[in-house]
Amino acid sequence: MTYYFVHQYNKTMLWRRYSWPQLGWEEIKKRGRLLVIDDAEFAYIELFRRDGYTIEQWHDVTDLEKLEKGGFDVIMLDIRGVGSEISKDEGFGVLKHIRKVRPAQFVIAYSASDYDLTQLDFFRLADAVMPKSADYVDFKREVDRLLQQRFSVEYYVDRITKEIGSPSCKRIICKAIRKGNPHILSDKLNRLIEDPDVRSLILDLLQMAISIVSLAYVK
Amino acid sequence: MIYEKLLFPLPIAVGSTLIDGSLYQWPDTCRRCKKRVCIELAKTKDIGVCPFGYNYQRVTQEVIVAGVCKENYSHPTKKWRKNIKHRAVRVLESHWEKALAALENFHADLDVEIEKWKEKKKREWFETVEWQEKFLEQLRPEIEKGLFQIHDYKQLNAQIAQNINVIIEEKYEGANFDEKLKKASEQEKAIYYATKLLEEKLNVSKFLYQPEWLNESSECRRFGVHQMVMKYYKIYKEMFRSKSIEFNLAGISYNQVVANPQAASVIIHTFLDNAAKYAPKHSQVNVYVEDLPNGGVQVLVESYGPRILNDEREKIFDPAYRGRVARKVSKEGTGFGLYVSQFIAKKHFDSPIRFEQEPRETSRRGHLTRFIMVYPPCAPPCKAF
Repeated sequence: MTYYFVHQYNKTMLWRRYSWPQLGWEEIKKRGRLLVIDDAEFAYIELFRRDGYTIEQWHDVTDLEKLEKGGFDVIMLDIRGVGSEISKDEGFGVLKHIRKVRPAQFVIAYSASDYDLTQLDFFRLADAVMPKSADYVDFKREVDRLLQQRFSVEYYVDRITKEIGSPSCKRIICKAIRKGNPHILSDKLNRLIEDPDVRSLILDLLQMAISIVSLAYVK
Repeated sequence: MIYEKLLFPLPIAVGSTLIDGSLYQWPDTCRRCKKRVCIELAKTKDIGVCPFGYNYQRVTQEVIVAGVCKENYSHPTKKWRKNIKHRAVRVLESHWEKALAALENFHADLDVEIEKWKEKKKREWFETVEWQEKFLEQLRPEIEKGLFQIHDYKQLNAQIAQNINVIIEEKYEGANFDEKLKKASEQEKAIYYATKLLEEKLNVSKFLYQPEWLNESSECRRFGVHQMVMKYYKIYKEMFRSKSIEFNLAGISYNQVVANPQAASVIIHTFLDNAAKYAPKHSQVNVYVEDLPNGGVQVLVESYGPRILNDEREKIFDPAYRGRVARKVSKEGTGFGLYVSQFIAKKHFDSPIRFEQEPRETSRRGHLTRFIMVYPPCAPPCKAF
């Protein structure tokens, strides 16, 4: 009898754990918007388009507002020759700005300056780093991985839990996402997290998770 | 002559040359003396006395001490004893004995030995990481210039790499890129692999210019050495094939190591690059990968190559040094590949590269040469990984 209840409980918990709505890969690919910011031609653009991705290239940061509003799911950013009007640090400055206004934005840093130790901070700020001469399949693999994460609620739940540093918060995070109300977590955040940057990152992640849930239900 | 630099206190004669001592000079009488009895008669190590009353004694086969008087030496005649009393300087018996003993222990080939000792000490110093860092520090001004050039080369290489990728991707059908690459024309493959090689070569300069990368723990990853060797096997296979060299990869390894993978790959890349440069046509290049009981992995690259002379065995890891025979065989090469590799092996892995060569030419293809690298389970800068 005890076994039966434990089994039922586990089933319920498992069901709860995996009950987040999931978008199919084709749907993700269709919805995912990719941006390349590079002053030189990025030859893989056509290959990404051929494979069904929505991608565009800017030779410089032409619409900062769109970046700040999270108009793209994954940004592939070069470090040199772009963003000089925004920052003297060029691409690094752009990335720092993105991290400030949209901390959860997915960015792949790629550069021909990957040998330069002074650029290490640029690469550290990014979610993935690619050498500029990498094969198309390598770029695609990274883009696919980040797109999967971008549209996975589990990823956000895990990441927020990790950022808060308290596994017991998982329930309240899930509740905030399910209800579509980030304020449920606000009190806890104010008590647990002192760093305003981390707080803003968590809220951004939470907002993204909520948008995915609503996206899946609309679908 | 080495004896002139010796600062020996007593006057000596080496052959027919008279050399003043640091404390006692040859008397004028001796310099004027034409008979040179001291040189003529000093056959044994017994002490003797010349017609002018000076003592002489053979110390070694070529050196005689003469031109001074030894105290307490009993001169044969009264007249001599009287004459010498006023003219000659006397050397204390104990000083005489000590000076002669020192000279007996002195080797004429000391300068050769000093050079050997200096070379040994130099080698020991060269092998320290401190010296290598100092050397790189001296290169700093050139580094700044070099970095700009590397960026341009990498930028150009990236453009070629991306475009050849697009051509192969669009032109050929296949389930994955490897299949498409197999179907590509020889020229397309050559361009593709050339970009990969160039990228690897430019990565070598990364560690040469900024060795601080080797201490960067954020660069540490867990990776399989065998997979890494496989990657290079694919890149170099075409190159070896075009030179009619048989390229074999043997052994299997499942161990994974924690280290900077780019630094680890520079070593394998250098071994293969050297093999490609020096192995003669129709010869073999063998790579053996083997797991070690401590969790590390050993990589051995074996190929025929030019003789590395005995005095060069350690110098081949010096910066900008290329073996004498190697220079004759191939004019290409900067002499930095093995230097950077050994630097990485010591500084990042704390496991220097070993090298073996068959002393005799067992084949007309050259001397069988083996370069061995042992990757430890965890590189010291990655302990926190």
